[in-house]
Amino acid sequence: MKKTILLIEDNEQNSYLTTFLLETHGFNVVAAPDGSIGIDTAKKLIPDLILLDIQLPMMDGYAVAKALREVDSLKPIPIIAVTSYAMVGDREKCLAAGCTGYIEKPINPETFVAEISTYLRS
Amino acid sequence: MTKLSVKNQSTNDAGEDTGRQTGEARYRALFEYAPDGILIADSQSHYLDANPSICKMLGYTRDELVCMHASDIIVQTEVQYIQPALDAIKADSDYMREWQLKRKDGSVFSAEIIATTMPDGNLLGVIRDITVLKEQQREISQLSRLYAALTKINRAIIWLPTREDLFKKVCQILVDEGGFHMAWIGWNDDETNQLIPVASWGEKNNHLKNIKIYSDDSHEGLGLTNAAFISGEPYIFNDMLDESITDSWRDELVHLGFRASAVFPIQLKDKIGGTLSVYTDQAMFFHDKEIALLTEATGNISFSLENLEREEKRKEAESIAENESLFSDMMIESMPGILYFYNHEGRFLRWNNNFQTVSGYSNKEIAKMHPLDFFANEEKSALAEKISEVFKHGQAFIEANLLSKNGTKTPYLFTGRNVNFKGTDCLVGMGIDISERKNAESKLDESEQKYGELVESANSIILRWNAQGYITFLNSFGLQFFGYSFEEIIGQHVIGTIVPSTDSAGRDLQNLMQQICLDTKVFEQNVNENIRRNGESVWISWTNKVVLDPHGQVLEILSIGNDITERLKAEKEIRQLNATLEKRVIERTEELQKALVRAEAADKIKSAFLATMSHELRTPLNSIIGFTGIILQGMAGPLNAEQSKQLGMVRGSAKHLLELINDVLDISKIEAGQLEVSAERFDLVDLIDRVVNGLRPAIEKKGLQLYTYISNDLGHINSDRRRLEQILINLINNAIKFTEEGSVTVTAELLNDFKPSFNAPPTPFLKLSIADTGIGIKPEDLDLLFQPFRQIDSGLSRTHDGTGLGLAICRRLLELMGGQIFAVSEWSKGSEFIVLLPLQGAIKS
Repeated sequence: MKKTILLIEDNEQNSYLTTFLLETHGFNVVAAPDGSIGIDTAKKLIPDLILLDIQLPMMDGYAVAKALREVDSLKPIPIIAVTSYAMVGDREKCLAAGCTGYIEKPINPETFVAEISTYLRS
Repeated sequence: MTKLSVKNQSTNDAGEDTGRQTGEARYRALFEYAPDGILIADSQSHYLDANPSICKMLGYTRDELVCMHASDIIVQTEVQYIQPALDAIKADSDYMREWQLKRKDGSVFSAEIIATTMPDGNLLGVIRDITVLKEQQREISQLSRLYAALTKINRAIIWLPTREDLFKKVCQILVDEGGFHMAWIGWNDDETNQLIPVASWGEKNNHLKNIKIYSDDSHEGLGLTNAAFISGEPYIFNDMLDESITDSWRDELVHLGFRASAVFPIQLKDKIGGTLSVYTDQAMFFHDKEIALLTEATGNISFSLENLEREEKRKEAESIAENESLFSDMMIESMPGILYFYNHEGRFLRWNNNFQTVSGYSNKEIAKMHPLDFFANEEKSALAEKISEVFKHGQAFIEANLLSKNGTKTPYLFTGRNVNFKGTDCLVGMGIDISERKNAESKLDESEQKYGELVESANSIILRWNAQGYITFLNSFGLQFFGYSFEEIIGQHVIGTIVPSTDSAGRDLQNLMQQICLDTKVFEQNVNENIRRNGESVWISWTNKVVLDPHGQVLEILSIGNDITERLKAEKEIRQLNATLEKRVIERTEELQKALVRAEAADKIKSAFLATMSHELRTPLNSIIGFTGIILQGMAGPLNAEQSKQLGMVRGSAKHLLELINDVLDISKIEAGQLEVSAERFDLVDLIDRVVNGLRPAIEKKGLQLYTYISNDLGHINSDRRRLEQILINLINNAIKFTEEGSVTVTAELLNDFKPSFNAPPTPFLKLSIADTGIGIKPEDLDLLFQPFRQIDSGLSRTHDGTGLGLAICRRLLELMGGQIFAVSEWSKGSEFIVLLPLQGAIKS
């Protein structure tokens, strides 16, 4: 059975890139363009994994992660922050907000899927 | 056996004829009644018979003696002489010797024995007790020795100059000549009432050091010495074994071998001064004659002591007189002034040397001169009057000029006193040079005048006013300053003339003047407003000094004033200026505060800008790198070779761009102080393995060898994992980049006791070394290596990719992490970069 990944990403090109990459590798990808839609979708969908951009309009990734973690049904779901911030403490901030992992942008298409897979397996 | 044989013999004899018996009876009577002792012995000195005299002498019965041998009656020490005596008798038939014989009761006596061999071969001994004879001989010898001693003592008395010498000599003579074992002389110390041993002689005189002998009767256990001293009579102790005498040191004396002693008091004029004690080993030594001789000796000593004392006193008196004369001479001569002594007629009897020196006249001249000759004519009558006053009233003094021989006049103060010398009235006088005082007096006058001038010409107001406020003095400057003449102002009250009753600020100055008088200390320095005659207001700084009378009442106030009106004006202007300045400073501070707030805000903006840049630049790059990757992987459909090649170039450029962005962001953050490092615990070997494995493809692609040496003791480190990874990647990438052939070697080891700086304590450090066999670095470039935007160039256009920021970032990062980096290199041979990092992350943030 195909694993479902929720992608919360506001940049259209990047959203398309990730979706294409994951679908090509046999994942089912649902994309959300901002945080609130993402949270709603996650509640309905209960995906196998959530990929979360941090710099989002209106509600930033940290807030989204916190909100997601408040939903009981979503608690076991891995949330992977995908961010181009790469500033000091970003990683820590992400983890503190409830993220399970952290992948820096730009992503490496050759290793990205493998990285995601490790979170899915565990 | 012997006894038996004798009896047998006599039994045999009894059978002889009566004629012989008659002769024998006569001999027998002689034998029985002879006053001398007679012993008959066999040739071996076993006694065969003894007469009553010898029995009496020895205290044995005849029967007892007949059993005995010579060795039984001769003292043990002389037994050894028996055999030689027997031999001598045999050879010469007669032998005489003095023996010490032992009585039955053990007592010993001296006896002279004449022994001879009888015709029958037996021995006949005639024994005479010579004890009395010996005693007489001994006494004679003893007395003669004492006489000799006395003679020597008398001689010593004549020759010896001091008591100590004499005493010592007396003791010595008594021992050496008089035959005593010890002699000592004790002398009474009036303060302690002890007889101090002042002289002693004899081998055993040491014990004197340990004894105390009192000269009064206040102490118990008194001895002979004390008794003799107190009584003034000789005390004799003829046998120390006689226990009836309780001399406290008798036991010790006996122990020392003394058997008898005598103490003789030594008379010093009308009292006893000390004692002479003598000791002998012979009991019963002291008899009347001995005592008389020693008493005479002490008498002679007393006589000599009196002489010595008289002599001493005479010498002392002589020396006192001599000293006295020297002293008075010295006093007279060392007096600072002149001293003279003349009689009623004015004839000089005595004067000091200084009088000669000062007057210039010789002693001969002075002797002929009259006292008035030493003064100029105009002073003579005054002097004559004073001299007659001395003779009339006893004393007088006068200041006059002493006229010396060469005509100089010196001011002198003369004092004279009338004394009666050998029945005539005389004048003893003294003169003191008072030129110094006169000089000082004239200088004082001069100085007073100078002060007057000073006061008058001073550029200060000098004012004197009394406690009631009336002006008593004002100097010229003050008069001129206030616009008054001396006559106008003197006697006027300060208020209304130079002081307004209230100043322009309304202060009550009348009151102030009273306060100055009351509390002078507080108003020593005072600034107040004054007024000139023309009504002009002036400010004067006053120094007030109060002059008190002997009862502490204010007599006058001395005030010195300086016009400070101009200064006050200037000060006021300065104060105003200062106020303006202060205001400006406050304004400026506010501006700076605002600027600071702005700057802080700008910093925040910068920080936000960097974050945005980071995000905004990476977001499009994410698409570029991502899509080229996807297309190159063939995920979007197959590509031909040319397309693959070109797209590969796009991806390379994009990656380089990303690298550039990352480095620029890093260095910007470092420069802005916004780059922070964190610390976490991680496995070093893991990290190195991961980095090396990640870069292995690039190394293999270039055909280089990669060696890693990781020491076994390397474990965990507490540091910034990502930054260390970044540094390691950067350094290995550089090594690969600049090496065309050969190898890259990564070494990691532990430095357990590394000192990061000279004074730092030893700390465990990680040492990472990345060495290559590449082009190396020129020595002159080594210094530039770690500066930003300095990619070392081989001279041609850039042959190597890179931002030129990598090493600068490495160095900054390592500094933040408490580590160091440096490079060693040989041009064209290779380079080695060494990283040192503390194991327990000394991280600065």
